[in-house]
Amino acid sequence: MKIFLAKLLLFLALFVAADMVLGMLVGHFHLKTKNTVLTNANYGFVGYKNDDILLFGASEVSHTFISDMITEETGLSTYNLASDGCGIFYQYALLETILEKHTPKVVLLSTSQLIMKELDYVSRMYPYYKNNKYVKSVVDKLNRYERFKLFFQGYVYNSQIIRIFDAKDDNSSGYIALPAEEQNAKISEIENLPLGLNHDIDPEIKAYYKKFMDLAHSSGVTVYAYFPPQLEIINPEYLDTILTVTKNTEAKVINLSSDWKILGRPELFFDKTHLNHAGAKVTTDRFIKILKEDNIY
Amino acid sequence: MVFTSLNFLIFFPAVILLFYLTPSRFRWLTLLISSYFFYLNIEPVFGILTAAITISTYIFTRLIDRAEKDSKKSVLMYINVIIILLPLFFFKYFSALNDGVFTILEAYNIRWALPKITFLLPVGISYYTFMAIGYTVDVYNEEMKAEKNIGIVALFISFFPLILSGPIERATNMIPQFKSELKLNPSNFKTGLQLILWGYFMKLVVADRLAIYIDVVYGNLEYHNGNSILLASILYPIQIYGDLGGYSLIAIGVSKVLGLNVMPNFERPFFATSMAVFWRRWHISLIKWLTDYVYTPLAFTYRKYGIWGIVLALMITFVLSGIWHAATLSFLVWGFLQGIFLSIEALLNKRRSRFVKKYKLMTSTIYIFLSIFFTYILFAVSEVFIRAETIEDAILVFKKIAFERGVIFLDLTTLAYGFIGSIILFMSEFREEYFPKKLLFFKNGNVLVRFASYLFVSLLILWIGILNGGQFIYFKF
Repeated sequence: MKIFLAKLLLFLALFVAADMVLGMLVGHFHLKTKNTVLTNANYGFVGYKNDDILLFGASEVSHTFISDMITEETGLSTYNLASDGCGIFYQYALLETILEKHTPKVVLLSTSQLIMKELDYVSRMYPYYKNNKYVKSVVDKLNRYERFKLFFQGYVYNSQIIRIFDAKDDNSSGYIALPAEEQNAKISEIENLPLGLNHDIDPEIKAYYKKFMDLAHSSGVTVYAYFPPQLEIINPEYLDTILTVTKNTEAKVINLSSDWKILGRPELFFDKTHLNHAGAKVTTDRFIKILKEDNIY
Repeated sequence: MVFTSLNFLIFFPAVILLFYLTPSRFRWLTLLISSYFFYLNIEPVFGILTAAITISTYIFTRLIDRAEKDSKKSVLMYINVIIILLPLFFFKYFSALNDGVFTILEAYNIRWALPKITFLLPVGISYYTFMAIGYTVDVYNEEMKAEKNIGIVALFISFFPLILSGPIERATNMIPQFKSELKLNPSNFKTGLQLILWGYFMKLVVADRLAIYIDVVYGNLEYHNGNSILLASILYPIQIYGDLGGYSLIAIGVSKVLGLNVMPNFERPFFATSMAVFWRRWHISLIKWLTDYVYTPLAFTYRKYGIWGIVLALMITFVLSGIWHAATLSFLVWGFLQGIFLSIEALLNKRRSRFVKKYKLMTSTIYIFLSIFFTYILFAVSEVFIRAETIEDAILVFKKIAFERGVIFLDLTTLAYGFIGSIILFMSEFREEYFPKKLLFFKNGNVLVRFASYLFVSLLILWIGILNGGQFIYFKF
């Protein structure tokens, strides 16, 4: 039994060592990756360069606001930090990280963050856990046992290897265009838009959403709450709820969820919840006008 | 507490330590306490049911043992089987019956004023119910003596590696082992850990990865075309194999570490060349149970009808197997399909044998490959009814596969990881099926090769396994 236990210990030591070596290697490539999603996270958490306008949210933001177009029109450097599927805990840690380095002029956050309950995206922050106190704080708060699991590099970079080397160079200051042509034939068939759900809002998510807005505002940033357009009629009760939540912050509202100039043009949508590149141009243009009206530039 | 949870990774070493520190004659007691702790950790109230089934089984098996007349033995056996089955029927089938009654009433515009009642199904009830019935029948058939120590009976019914999803073990195998001097030894430890490691690989790298793609497609059937649904349907048997096969290996491995031998539950099922062979390799413990306690008595009863008696016994056995999974029309159809496949094979068996002999196909690679392929496809077709959940969805699946073409939905990252896992699994099983003595990895004589294999599989699990995955599919049965 002693020999067996010695072999078992030796195996465990080898396993930890191999995991560490692999972790160092993959970690290196992770920071150098050209992958669209990872590049955005790396930029926000590690390589941030003092931008004036920052856009936060998930896919409904990353495929909508054309950063380079905003920069060109306003003269204010812009980065779209939004990342597919990322919720408020990610956004909050990201904002804290950025504010430590620099205070931007404008921050936009999507109200869709309020209904993103799945927490799978938290793992996107794991590569930064060790060196970023804000990430650490959020991750530890969400799961107190995570710190033990994060000892293993395989857990930190779990399922990331293919993504790291899957380098589609379609990232334009964080904006990722969706094809202009309709992908979903069903969109053009929609004549009467369905009524959206009256989503439940998790109190913890609501609290973090408010914290995000308050932190940005108290740092002297102009904050916009963005209600994205979707091919559905936004549920009035849900709209009231998010308006109430947002009213309690100092954020200005950009509500496109009931804007028929966009909703009435299904050709601007890639699918039910995402705008295509043509839709992104229209929305970005609207945002630039709002910035002008608010004397941001 | 499930095998893939962090809690289990703490619980299991703690059990081993406790087991090691306990004098060998009391080790069964450590296992009993650990088993109840494990089970109560899921839902404390379920433990009452397990204890009640244990008490009933203990009392009735003792009475059967003491009874002198066969008729009395038989009555006692049936009473206990009914008592054991009552909770299963109540929890598993009451809701379905209830729903059915309400649906029929609603169809006739009769509105029932009472609310629908639904119950949470006690986890593992289908498994330990079958184990308890098996033990009762074995005592009745005098294959074993009724156990005098109620603690051992309780351990047999609640043994933590097996209680949630099997393998459905036999008292004749387990009770003598529980009563023997249980010892930890390096050989068992090594074999057990190898099985556990491979079980985790099957579950986390193969099953849970493929589940991502399959769930997306089957969760949105109306938005996916026939090609995507076809791919998901072809992958589903591999997912289910990785899930239940992986669970079974972990359960067998955990038992092995504790010095207990549990029957295998799978034997490279996707290399079966016919459905009959497939069912000797797939969910072996369930099929063996059904064969011994349902099929064989039925086939004996219907022997006067010749081959048609066998067909009838097959149909009844597999319809029962479907209902054992769940009381839904989908599972009924699933069981019925299995019965039909096996019956057709049974009816054509002689002709097929003659054909194979005549054209010397036994060793033909093409014939073997085609047999494996068709067996897999038949199984995949039947599994559509399980994955689609409702008959309407299953029909939609077949309709779309037949008529709706389009660009296939490719979640490349998920599929790439899924294929890596599946190919490693397939190659390992291929080697074991056709070259069992060659290219050994876990069982290689060279310690370096063994270590490298363990390291490779462990790192695969950690780096590309789904570490926050869901439950095991068979928990719901």
